[in-house]
Amino acid sequence: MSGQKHFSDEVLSAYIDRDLDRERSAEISAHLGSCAACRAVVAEIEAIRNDLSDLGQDQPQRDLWPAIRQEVARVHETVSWWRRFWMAPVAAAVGAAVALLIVLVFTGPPRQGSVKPAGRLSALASVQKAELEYRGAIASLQQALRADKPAWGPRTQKVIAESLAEIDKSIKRCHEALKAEPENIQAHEMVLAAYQQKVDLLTELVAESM
Amino acid sequence: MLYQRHCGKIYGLALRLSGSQADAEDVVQDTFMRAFRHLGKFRKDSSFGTWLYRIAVNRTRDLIKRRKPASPELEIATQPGQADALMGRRLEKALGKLPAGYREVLVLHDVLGMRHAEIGPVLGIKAGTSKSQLHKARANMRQILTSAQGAS
Repeated sequence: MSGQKHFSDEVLSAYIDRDLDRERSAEISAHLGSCAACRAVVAEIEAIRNDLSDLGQDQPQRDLWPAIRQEVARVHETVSWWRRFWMAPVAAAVGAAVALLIVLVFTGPPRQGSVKPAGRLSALASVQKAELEYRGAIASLQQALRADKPAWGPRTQKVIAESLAEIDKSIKRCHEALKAEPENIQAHEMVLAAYQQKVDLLTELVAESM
Repeated sequence: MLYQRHCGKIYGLALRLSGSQADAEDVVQDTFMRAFRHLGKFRKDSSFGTWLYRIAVNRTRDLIKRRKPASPELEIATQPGQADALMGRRLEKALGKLPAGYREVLVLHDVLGMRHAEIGPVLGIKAGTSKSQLHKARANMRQILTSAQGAS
């Protein structure tokens, strides 16, 4: 010891994790070369870290899945996606919405002019923000599905892929229509409706895979 | 299945934050049920897992808040195959003595192996805060373990 300065546990922990800048790290490395006390602290913290990682995962002592599955099934019954999926295809609804959008964009709805310019700009900013959020949600849901790799049969996979492709086609057509009139709020709302359809479908697919 | 992939980690997290197997089981059930009911609210998260862990942490915090003010009674059973059961128990006890914020970061980082960038969104803190909490938590752990060793 002999009056030698020591580093705190916190700093040594940051050193172990390489959370310090190069200069500070080099200073501590040099110090450790001559300080047995700090070397002992580093060894102890490393041991704690390693022992904690050895605790690893645990499993519940009883099977919790049946109760969860029951709850999922109960909520699911009210909105059986299978029923909606087979009897009223999502794509058809979106397709109709796109057809309406195209009519609206190219014929121009009369009420559009009744909105004041400042109000329209703010509404436009809102729908653009919502569009970004939808894209984020869609990416996250797709990521969850990709990671989970649900074991659906080939026929189901085909229907899902076709429905998603149909919605994507609709979104694409909406965007093409929007090029003609970028500030048409109703047109943006139609895009949002198509995104919502996709979010709904993906949400139900994730729920199915749970 | 999502459940199989995340169940063990969520249970381990809740078990170490609450110190109670019964509470941890409640947290697992509740997390998946809530996740399902609120799937529509799942927006722009870095990952589905992060979203699940956030629900689990919040649910555990609620349970701890509702509990009587006494410190959590640790009732963690030794898992079969755990290399050093005695060390495991010492660590679990020391974890139970840490302030809640330190314990959360330490469990997520050192036990579950999450990165600070992942821990931030789960706990609602910045990655830098997660780092500094972790180093303080380890320093506290060393102190607690050293004092326990001195006392025995």
